[in-house]
Amino acid sequence: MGDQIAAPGPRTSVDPRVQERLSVAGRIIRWASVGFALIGLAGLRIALFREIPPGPSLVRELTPVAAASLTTLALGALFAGDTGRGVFRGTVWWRRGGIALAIASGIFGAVIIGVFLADRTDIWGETMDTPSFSVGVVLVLLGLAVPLCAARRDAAVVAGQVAALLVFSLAGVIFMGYVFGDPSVGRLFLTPEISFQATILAVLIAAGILLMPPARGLLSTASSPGAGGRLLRWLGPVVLVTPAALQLVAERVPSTDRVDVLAFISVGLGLLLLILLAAFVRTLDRTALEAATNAAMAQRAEIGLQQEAPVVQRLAEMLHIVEVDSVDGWEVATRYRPGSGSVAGDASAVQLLPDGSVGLIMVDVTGHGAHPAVWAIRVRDLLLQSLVAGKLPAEAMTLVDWSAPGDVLASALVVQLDTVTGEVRLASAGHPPAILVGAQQAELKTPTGPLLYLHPSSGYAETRFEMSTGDALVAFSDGVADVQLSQGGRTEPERLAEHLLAETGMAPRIAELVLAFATPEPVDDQTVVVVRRSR
Amino acid sequence: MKGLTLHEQPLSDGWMSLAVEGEIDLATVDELQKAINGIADNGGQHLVIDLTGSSFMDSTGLKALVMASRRFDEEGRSFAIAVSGGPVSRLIDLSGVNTSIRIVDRAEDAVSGAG
Repeated sequence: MGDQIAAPGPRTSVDPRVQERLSVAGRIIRWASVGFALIGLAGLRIALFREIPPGPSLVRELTPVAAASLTTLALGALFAGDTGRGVFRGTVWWRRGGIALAIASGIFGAVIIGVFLADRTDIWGETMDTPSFSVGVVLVLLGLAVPLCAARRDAAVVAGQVAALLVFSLAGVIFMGYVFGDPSVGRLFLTPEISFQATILAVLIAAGILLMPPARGLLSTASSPGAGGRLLRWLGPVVLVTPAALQLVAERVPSTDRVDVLAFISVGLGLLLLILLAAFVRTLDRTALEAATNAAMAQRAEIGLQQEAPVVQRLAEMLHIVEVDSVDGWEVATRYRPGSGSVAGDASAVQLLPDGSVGLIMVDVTGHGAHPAVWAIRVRDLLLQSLVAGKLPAEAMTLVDWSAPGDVLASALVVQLDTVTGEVRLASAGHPPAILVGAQQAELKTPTGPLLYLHPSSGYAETRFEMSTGDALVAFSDGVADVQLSQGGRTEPERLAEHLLAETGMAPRIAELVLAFATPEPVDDQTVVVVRRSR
Repeated sequence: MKGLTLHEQPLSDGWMSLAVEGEIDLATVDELQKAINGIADNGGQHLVIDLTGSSFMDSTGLKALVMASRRFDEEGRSFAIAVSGGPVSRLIDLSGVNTSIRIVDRAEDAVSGAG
């Protein structure tokens, strides 16, 4: 076996290593968010948050209602995101249950917003201090994000991921509010009562939801090995903190006292930037992917050509068979000059038959390339085997014409030559006339029937004549018979016959004369077979 | 490389003439095939290929005509070739295509039934 050439594998838009890392990170974050939520729910205070110095009036432990709702959401994300893994293996009900929990949390968030907007101050037995508008917004966004990220459609996944990312931006602004104290947070979210711990938890849950489908939506681009993926991995975090940065600027350089408006603008601008970045990098990545795919296809095609070249070469070698180049008193010469391309539909054979006669076959299947070449070999061999089986040329032609392929047309010449008596039997299926070149004249042997497979079973006639000493029978394909001459006009058989008249050279010289008469660089294949009686 | 000049012209009795000028060979046969297919796809019309203005045709052109003729036959529509001497006519005669496709001297003769 020859050297194997490795073709490039299928292109993928996702780097599997990055995808695996994202998947693992997602699982860890979802479990961490659940743990964090349960701690908050249990009313445990975490020293880290308790000791944050600025904006201390807002730093408090997670309130029970906020903790409960966020815990529900965290569990929903865990169940929906990790179905099929670990303890959640084997049933889709975990997934369905997770989505249901998330939707319930989202509805709860909508109720919070609705109640707040209706200026109700007392629901479920508590004042609106806990939880308030901000938690409602977070619950709605993340409650929507879970089912969307678990959906089949890529657009839904992208929408879910954008919702989750929006929570990141909101969290950034909220943190800024903590840094600058009550007024700004209060003005941004209308009520200040979202706990610092709740914000941390929301960010964790959002990250877990974002990573639920590690190779889909925005993450398919983010985990891409291409330029778009790299750009998103670098610029994505920058864009996520943009709202917080804008809020920071607004707080430090107050050009208006409507800091709340500036905060909303910050969040909106951050979201817009995120969407623009996502759209840009996806386009960039797809373009790069297409270019890479095209390059891979070109490489595969080149490899394919390299692999097929020996086949075509072998095919070309099979097109012309000369088993006898001389018989006592006879000379045989063949010439083949390929046209444009590698192979065409010319095939020929000169073979000694069992009865001692010589069979000459020439076939020309219309068209260029491997398909007509294969057909030419097939037709030639069928004709040859018919002669070997004892059929006369016209009978061989009729036999082969019987089985008609759909879209193949072929001209063919079948000659049987008695090397003792010089008697020749010739059948021609629409083939360019062979020329009998003698000392006194050059005679055209015109077709004795139509092209093979033109209308099958038409039957073929036969021409019989004798060759005397010095006579040569010149057979050629239409690549010789009808080509443009550099000096003007065409190599019509009549002109070729005039050219060869009284030619007394040996068979190889005659064959060379024929080729020299035709255009030096032919479009079509040129095949010439000359059989000359020397004694 | 010279291309083909193709000119479609409706004749009477549902016939369409496709006049071809130039050399029909491997380089140009696709143009001819597209034009024939375009007419064939329209449906309902008979077709005569007018090759009286064509100076040369090789076996690829011959095959295109034979395949077009078969398609028109299968669809119950008439098909003819108009030639008047020259290399194209000689190729059609030598190949025996004149025994399977109706040959006329002029495109109009296809309509009248002459030839």
